[in-house]
Amino acid sequence: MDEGTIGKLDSDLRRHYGEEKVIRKVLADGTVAFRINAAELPQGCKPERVDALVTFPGGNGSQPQVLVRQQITLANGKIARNQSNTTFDGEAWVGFSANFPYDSSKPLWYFVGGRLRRFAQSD
Amino acid sequence: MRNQIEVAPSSEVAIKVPLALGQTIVRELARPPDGYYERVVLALVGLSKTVGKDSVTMHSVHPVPDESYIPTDDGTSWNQKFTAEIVSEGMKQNLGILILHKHGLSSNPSLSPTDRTSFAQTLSRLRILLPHRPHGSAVLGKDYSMGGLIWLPGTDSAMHTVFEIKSVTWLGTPLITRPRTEHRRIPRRQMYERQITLLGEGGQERIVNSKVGIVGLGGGGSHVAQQLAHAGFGNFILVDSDVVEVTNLHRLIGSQEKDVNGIEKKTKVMSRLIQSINKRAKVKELQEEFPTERSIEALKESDVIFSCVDTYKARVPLADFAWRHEIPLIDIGIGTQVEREGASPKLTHVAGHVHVYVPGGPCMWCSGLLSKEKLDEESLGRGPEYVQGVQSPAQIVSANGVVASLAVTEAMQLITGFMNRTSAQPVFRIYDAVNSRLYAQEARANPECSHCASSLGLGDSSWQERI
Repeated sequence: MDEGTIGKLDSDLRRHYGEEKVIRKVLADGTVAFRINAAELPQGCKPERVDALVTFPGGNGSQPQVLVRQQITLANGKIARNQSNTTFDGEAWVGFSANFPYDSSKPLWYFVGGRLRRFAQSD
Repeated sequence: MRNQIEVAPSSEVAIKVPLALGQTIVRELARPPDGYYERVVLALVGLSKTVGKDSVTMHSVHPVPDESYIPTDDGTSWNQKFTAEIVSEGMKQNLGILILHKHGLSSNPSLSPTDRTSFAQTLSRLRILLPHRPHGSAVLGKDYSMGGLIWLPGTDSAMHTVFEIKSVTWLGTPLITRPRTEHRRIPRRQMYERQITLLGEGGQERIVNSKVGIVGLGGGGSHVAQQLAHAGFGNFILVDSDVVEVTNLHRLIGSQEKDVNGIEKKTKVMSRLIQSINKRAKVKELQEEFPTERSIEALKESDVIFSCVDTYKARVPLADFAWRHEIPLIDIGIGTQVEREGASPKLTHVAGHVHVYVPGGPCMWCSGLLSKEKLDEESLGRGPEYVQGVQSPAQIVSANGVVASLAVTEAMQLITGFMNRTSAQPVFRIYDAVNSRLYAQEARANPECSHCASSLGLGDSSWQERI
């Protein structure tokens, strides 16, 4: 993934979430990651906002992943299913399953929002 | 920035040095200098912060090449090209720089006034080039000793407030920590008298003061907890999200039927067991599935961690964690295989392993315990507990006990070195319960391994705000 592409993805996220709320990092193996502080979750979720992480493993631009900083409780009071603890760059994050494919022609925040909308479903 | 340094009045900064890197440092610094004052090695380092202590972890070492030295009248200098290469690597890996040289004769080495002045000047530049990372200057003495100063990110930004290196641990088998701790009275010494005969007073004291993490408190982990408590380990960090179920009772050491009725947490049961053996033991219970933020922070304080989990997937973050924070990891596992002969199952295989992973040596990926193929198989439902033809994973308490006992012995060896082995190679053992045999497994660090080389000594993650 070249610097131009990384820059564009970075800008997409900053325009949507706010300049101060997005930090990016590139790991030694080429993985590109964007940390979004306090991304909003669907109404009724606990917490209401959560730090989210979008990663492009190995710098592969076609299959990003979204992680959240902690397990999410849904509006119906149940803990969302299929959440699993994992680490990224030594920090604890939570993976979750969501059926929302990545479309590189759309801004990155669209993908993040779509993934996080999974928590609007009642399990 | 000022070119002066001020030493903080109190500090608990420790350095961790994987043995292979340490051997390179010692070898390079022992080479006779040729036309310049003394040899220097630059190390890329990470930072592992805990509540009680900050540890600087070593990722890689880079001896200054002969052709890079610049002869000077006072002190040692080297060209900017070499420094730029190391700084560039530090930027890529998000690591700081520790400058190492040698004062051969002292068991309590410290930086000379010239060293301090030089460090202050270098620190000014490094804080600009590699902000938010630790930087230091250290000197090796005799008998594995090390002294020096470390600047830590997040401290005073206007001045160079630095911290003294209080201890260094060379990560071999056994672990070597300097300075040696002074002997203090061992509480309830009589309890450990027969053991002190083997371990020595110093060894028993190191056991009492060690912090041990146990991740997974099932059939293996419960045995481990019990034996460590008997041996006198004084500080436990227990991590498991499970509660006791009736199917656990046949092998979960310390469990009782009332724990099932009361839906008791495994962490609670183990804590109860440990404290029934050693009421002075401190136990931190984390009813969580590693990794979580809390379990990561707690386990960073460990001197050794037992990995007693039952899936390959669960081992992946543990393996990465142990390497990042340079904490030895002892992994145990046991599996069974049953084949169907007509209508009856036939037990063909009850085998366990004990692997001692010391950061800088072979990792779980080098040893073959972890592989992409195994993880893929496991995701399809065929993991290490996979037993053909049987509904649930088979376990037997006695086989678990053998494996756990071997592991606890290795932990005691790591901490005390009491067995005076001729080989310093880490231990990899396979236990064949069916044939009652123990095999040594060869495992060497794979220089092509993308996991251990990349994550060694990275320490805490660091996210910086956009500058």
